[in-house]
Amino acid sequence: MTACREITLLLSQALDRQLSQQERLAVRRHLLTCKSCANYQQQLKAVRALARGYRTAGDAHGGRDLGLSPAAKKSIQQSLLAEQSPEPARPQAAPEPALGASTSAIQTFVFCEGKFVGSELTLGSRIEIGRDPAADVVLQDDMVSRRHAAVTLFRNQLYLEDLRSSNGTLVAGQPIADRVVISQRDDVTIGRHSLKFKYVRGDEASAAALPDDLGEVAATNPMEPGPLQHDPTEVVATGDHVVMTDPESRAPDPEAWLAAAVGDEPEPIHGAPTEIDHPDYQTAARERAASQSRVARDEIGDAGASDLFGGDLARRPPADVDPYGSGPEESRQPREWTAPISAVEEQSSEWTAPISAAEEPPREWTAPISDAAPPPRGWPSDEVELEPELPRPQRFVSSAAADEDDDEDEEQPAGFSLFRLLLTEPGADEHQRGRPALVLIQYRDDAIWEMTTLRRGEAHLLNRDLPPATARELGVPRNFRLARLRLDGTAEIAVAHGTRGKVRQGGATRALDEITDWRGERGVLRLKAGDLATLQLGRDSYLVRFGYPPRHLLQVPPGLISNAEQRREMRRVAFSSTTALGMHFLVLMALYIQSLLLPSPTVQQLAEDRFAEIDTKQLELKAPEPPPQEAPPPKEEPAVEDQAPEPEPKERPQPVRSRTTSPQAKKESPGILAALGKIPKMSGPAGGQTLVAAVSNLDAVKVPGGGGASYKVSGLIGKGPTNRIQLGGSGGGLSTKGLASILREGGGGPGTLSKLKGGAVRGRLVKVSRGSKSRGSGYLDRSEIQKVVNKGIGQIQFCYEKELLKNQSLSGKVVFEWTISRTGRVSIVKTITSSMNSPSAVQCMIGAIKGWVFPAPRGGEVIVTYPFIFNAMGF
Amino acid sequence: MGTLEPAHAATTNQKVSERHKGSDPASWVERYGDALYRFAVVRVHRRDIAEDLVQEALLAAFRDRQRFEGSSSEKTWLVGILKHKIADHFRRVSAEAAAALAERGGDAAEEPFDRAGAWCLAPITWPRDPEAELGERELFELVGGCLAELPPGLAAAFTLREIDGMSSDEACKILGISATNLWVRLHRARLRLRQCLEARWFGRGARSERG
Repeated sequence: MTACREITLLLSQALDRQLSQQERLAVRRHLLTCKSCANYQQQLKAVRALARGYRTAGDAHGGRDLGLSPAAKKSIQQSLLAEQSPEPARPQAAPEPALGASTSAIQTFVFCEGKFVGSELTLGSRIEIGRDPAADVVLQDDMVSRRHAAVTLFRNQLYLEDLRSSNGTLVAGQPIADRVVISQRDDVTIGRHSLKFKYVRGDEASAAALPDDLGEVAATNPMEPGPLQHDPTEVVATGDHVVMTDPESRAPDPEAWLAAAVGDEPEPIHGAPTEIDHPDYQTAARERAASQSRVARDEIGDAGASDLFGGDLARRPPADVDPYGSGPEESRQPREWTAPISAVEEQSSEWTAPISAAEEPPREWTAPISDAAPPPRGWPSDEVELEPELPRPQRFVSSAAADEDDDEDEEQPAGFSLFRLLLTEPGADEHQRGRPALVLIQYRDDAIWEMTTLRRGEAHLLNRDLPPATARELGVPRNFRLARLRLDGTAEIAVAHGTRGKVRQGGATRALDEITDWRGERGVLRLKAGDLATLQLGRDSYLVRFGYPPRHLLQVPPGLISNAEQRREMRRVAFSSTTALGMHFLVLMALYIQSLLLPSPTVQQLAEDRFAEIDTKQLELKAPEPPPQEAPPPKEEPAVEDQAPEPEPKERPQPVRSRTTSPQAKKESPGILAALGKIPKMSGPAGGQTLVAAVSNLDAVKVPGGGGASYKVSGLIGKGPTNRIQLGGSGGGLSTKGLASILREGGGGPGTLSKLKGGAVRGRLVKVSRGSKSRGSGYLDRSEIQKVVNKGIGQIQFCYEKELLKNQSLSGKVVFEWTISRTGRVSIVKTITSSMNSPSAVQCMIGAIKGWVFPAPRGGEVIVTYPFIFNAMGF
Repeated sequence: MGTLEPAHAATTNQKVSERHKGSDPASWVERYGDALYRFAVVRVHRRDIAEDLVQEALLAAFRDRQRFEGSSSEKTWLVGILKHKIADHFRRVSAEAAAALAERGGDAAEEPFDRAGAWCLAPITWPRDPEAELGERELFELVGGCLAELPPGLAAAFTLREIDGMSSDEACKILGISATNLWVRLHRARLRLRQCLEARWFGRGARSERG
């Protein structure tokens, strides 16, 4: 039987030529059974009609307002008057290769009744959603049909299709008929679940899914064909005299007009320069880069601490490592090019560090090595009980939480972002950007369990702290060195027997088995920048991909980095401040709940649900720092007066603390907020303390009766001291995202910054709308005010982040009071209290608030009192 | 032909123009600029390219203005020159497209069919007729937007065949390609256009209708 591909070609040709008897027959026979092609035939007619209509419409519509732009008129006029030779015309955009669907992935975010239950990245261009265990996204919900809906990614558009489900698929609350285009913002409702989809394009899926505004990076790429390549063509093509000597040009005949131009000039001239120059240029550059890299790699040899991965792996011949060997698809992506080349340039400065580290191994390095040296215990393949019937990395199990959280659709304002600002800043540090890191996301059951970013030379040990019994139960290996990012930018993934998964390599998706190089018990998988792998081991699954970290904001002199001792020192400092800040955050989080929840049993129940998923064995608070109220740290700033003006709710059991076993915190009063405000300087050396703090799945805590403000506290597990960040959900308020979350989410979002080696600054701006009050002669609905504040909160955060760069421990609470005039503009902004030691930040915020425009209040002015809480966390 | 004295270029221009019953070239942009631009933009679909082509055409006309003999209207004459410029442009992008195709060895991956040749995203029945429903302006923007997204080589083929309504032979000549190649390009262009139209008009339209 002839396939749709051929039939559509014939259908199209039927418009251009007479089909043969046989062809007509084949088409007719096919159309009898294929509704899609029949539809297509109809649509071809419509397209033809549209094209004809387009020409007429152009003329008619043009009569009104379609014409040369004033600027173009001026420029043409000038060139005419100057009678100059024509300037080389602008180059036409080279034909942009469309991304094949095969190189892409769809990321699904699943919410159950407002609660984020997980996300899944599916390679490929189509996913099916349903109750059927074979579906790509399984929703265990009796309102969901076995095959309920499908999402198809096609040419950068997401299409949502209802697969004749019984209960229908809703987009933005409306049932869809057949298939619709959805955007990444659309809420798709299926049964009690709501989903969001995001496509990850081929280059992004692997190359870090950086925000779109990083496009500028690519634009500066020297590899990109510039105007120069086009100019010769242009000059040749503007053969004016040739045209003019053509006798027919004087008698333009509407029918034969274009034919006149044919044959005047030897044809091959056109486009020939482009044809030749372009690939040559690229090939030459590629070869140059490759040879450089080969040299660099040879120099490194095995010295680069490659024994981290076991000797056999390190001795693999370098020839099979080709950082440029991504498929033809990638090689045209400018971003793909930047990375390897800049990586080559940096080799020398990069690999000195590990060598010196090897001579005198610092503590941090020894541990993993010695851990890893013996074959991983508890992971011989015969002992491991895998669960082979688990078809997908994740399942989304609907929870019965009766939470009518409505915060989901509240759009987070794009806002200002310091991150964005810095990235687009001219002269920004080029080479830092192009160096890919390896991002590992570990999922357990249905949630993101851990996220790790590996820099060059770093390796990741799996489940280092997992008790052997638990590991057996989960079917996961312990102390297993899953991945290492080599100094040459390639990654080595260790594959245990029984691992299943898919790999996208050089643009093609392949099964894990095909490309794994088996060496006894373990297989090795090589990934190059641009590749992507999903692995599944027991109840855990992993997504491994390359990411481009944001460049570091604080530059450390190269000499400092290469000195192992200094590095250690830096880590220690980062470590201790991390510890302090982590504590800080934990307590704040507790307070947060306390101050937001009314003492109603329902709420408590809710809160308990939230925490039900924390495994206390895993997540306990060890050796906590002295709680702030017991040992208020030295406070230098006189600027800190207080106090929380909003009425604090009475004592109630603190779910956070009860679950995280931090009894001291139990009896805290609202005064803690004040105490917290006073500890921004608490970042002294904190010794070898370990802090394992856990606050998980705190999302969507509802404020009962609160003026429509509900909170999603970031479900976050912080663990220090390390650059490992564990994330379990996305948060309310606004978070200044750390490195990991940028890489994970692929979006800049409001505010994103990272700082010193191995760490990220995370600032948090908390909206405290309960404390907001309004008075004055007029009336303005609270929700209206909230809306404007939400919209402008990015600006506030920007002010905070800007100062956060100077002072990493900046935090506190600021209460503003502003007057909304009758027109809705803000006339007066005052600071009522501020526990944040940064006048410039407050000034900046005042400036931002002054720019806000509210709906005009009824009956006069409105004065709003509004507190903001700022908090920074380091990881 | 009149003698030209470079020292008196301005007056000479005038004379030449008068002799040929043409107007002052300085007024061309005002008088014909928009019409020429419209002519170009419905064919090349991109503002910048259209503007460049108009400029090229006017400059070429200016340099050879003495050849204008007044046998047709000045506008027709200018449009004729512009047509040549557009043809040049088409031929250029056609060659570039061929080169790009050769470079990546075919673009089967861009087709909306899977390996077995079945539709990846099967066409559904369009519930409404776009042409009947769209106003002129919407139609212009919709189709223009989709055409602008086509790879230039495909767009050129489609424009010649469907917008200018040329025969296959004529279009092949201009693009310098074989008939088979033209059909393939047309096929791809139509597949993409169908897709784009559905996404832009029907997909969104259906949504906004409900909301």
